[in-house]
Amino acid sequence: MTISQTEIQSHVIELSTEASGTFCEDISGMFGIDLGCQHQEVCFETAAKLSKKYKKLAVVISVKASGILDGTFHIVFDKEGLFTLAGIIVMQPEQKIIDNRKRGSIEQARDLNDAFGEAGNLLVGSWDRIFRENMESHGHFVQSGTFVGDPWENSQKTIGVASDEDFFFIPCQMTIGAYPAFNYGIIFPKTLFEKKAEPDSVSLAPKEEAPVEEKPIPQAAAVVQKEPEADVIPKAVVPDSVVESQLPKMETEAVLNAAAPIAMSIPETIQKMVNSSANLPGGNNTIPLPVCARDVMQTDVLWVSSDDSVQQALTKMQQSRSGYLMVGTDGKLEGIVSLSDLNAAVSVYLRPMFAKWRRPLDDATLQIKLKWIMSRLVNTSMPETPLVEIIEKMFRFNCLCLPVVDQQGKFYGIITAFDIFESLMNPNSSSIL
Amino acid sequence: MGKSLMIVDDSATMRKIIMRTVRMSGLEFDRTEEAGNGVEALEKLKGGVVDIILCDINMPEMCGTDLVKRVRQIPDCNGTKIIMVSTESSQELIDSVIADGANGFICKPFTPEKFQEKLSPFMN
Repeated sequence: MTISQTEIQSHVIELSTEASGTFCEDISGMFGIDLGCQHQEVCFETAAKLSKKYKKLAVVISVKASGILDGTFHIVFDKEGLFTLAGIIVMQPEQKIIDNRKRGSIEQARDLNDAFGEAGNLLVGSWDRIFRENMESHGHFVQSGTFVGDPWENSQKTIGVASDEDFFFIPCQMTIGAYPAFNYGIIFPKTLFEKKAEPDSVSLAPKEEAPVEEKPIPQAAAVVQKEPEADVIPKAVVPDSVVESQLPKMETEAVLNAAAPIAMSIPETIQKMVNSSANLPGGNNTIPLPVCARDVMQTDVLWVSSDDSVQQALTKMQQSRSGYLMVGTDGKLEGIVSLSDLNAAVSVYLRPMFAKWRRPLDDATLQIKLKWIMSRLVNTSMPETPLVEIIEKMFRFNCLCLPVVDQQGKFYGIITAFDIFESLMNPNSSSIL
Repeated sequence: MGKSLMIVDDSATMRKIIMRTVRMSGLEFDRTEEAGNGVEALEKLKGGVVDIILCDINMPEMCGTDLVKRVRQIPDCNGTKIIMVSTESSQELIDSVIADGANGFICKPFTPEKFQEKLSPFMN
């Protein structure tokens, strides 16, 4: 799977928000004081413009990134933030912190340099953790410096960009305890994304997932794979993206074709397969087959809120490499959204090849709320529903995924066509054995 | 008999934070020492061994991993427990310092509860 430069930027921005929240939680736990942060909309800024907002006294923590992000980015705190955060770290009395926020000089700020170093260390630790957990190609973040003073006067030296050069900026407001909110922001120079993130050339796929052609395919299956697959599942109901994400399972699909001659009617074939033992190619014959939804369903699923945006859902899906997201709260399922639902919702002009024609309205499609595009719970399966009924239902309603819920509406998992194929072909992996 | 503790970190602020957090965890030490790097720590150990060392990894002059190896060569420090404290938390690093002779690892950011959990087994 490849990811474009735009997607990397979007992913980084998403993770930056999460990392800032994690930093607040970390400091809260360490110093026993409440911290909160609120991010505003990402924008393009220049050092000249920021100098008006952040004035002449600020602290800049520089972070050297390696991996998919290659270069240095910066986190800047205004004067109020500088004295509050450092004051908390060195345990200054409350009144001293308040006085410094109002009248603190650059000399007083420099006296707190060690505290900023520690704040930066903790900040980078939180960020590194979040990126390591959520971005496959992330290398490492290391704090590369702390600057106290006027970062805008010689911005090329302090933040690595000329005073009139655009950079991505995520403005945020942070609150610590009962102190008034202060400003901080994240500066991402454009060069950070340029070195490795050429459009459509960066792979975020885990290394262990080898291309399908590298997997040995049993001879019988390889021959049958040439038969048209559309006879088994109507092509129109198979979202391209889902097929792509299930590529490693093609072998399974091919073997299924071998076991079910196309000339036979589909329900009859299914009846035969599900109600009998499998006679698989390769010699491992007569394996009992799974019988009901509970035996083959996926229970490890991801949840999103119906108020989440398409962009948030795409990010989550990308991170997990999952084809479906459950929509709901507190385990109560309201709907389900697939990758093809999301792809259908966003403008085609967001694709890198159409970047030239991209308009603000196209970006707005990323903000569509999931509640407007999700599939409501019309077709479901019970945990005890026999496999043959599930397959028939999938054919009848042209759906490849059914949520498994009981009569009280309690959610158990989901079952996809590919789960069924896999369990038919690999019964050893099924929970019933 | 009360226990003794040494905090080794090149940042005076961080030593102060660790000391405060240890106190908040409810653990009590009769004697506490501080050192700014591995060399300083070894000098202080010559004056008297300690029961527990809380040690940063990245420090000038002598880093935490080198300090662990050196302390393990001092016969008097056989009973000294060394807990590393660092923002770097990769499994490779943890495995490596444990293999070198460290007794535990605390990732920054830490909480009083974390110190309680990691240090209390060595308090009796």
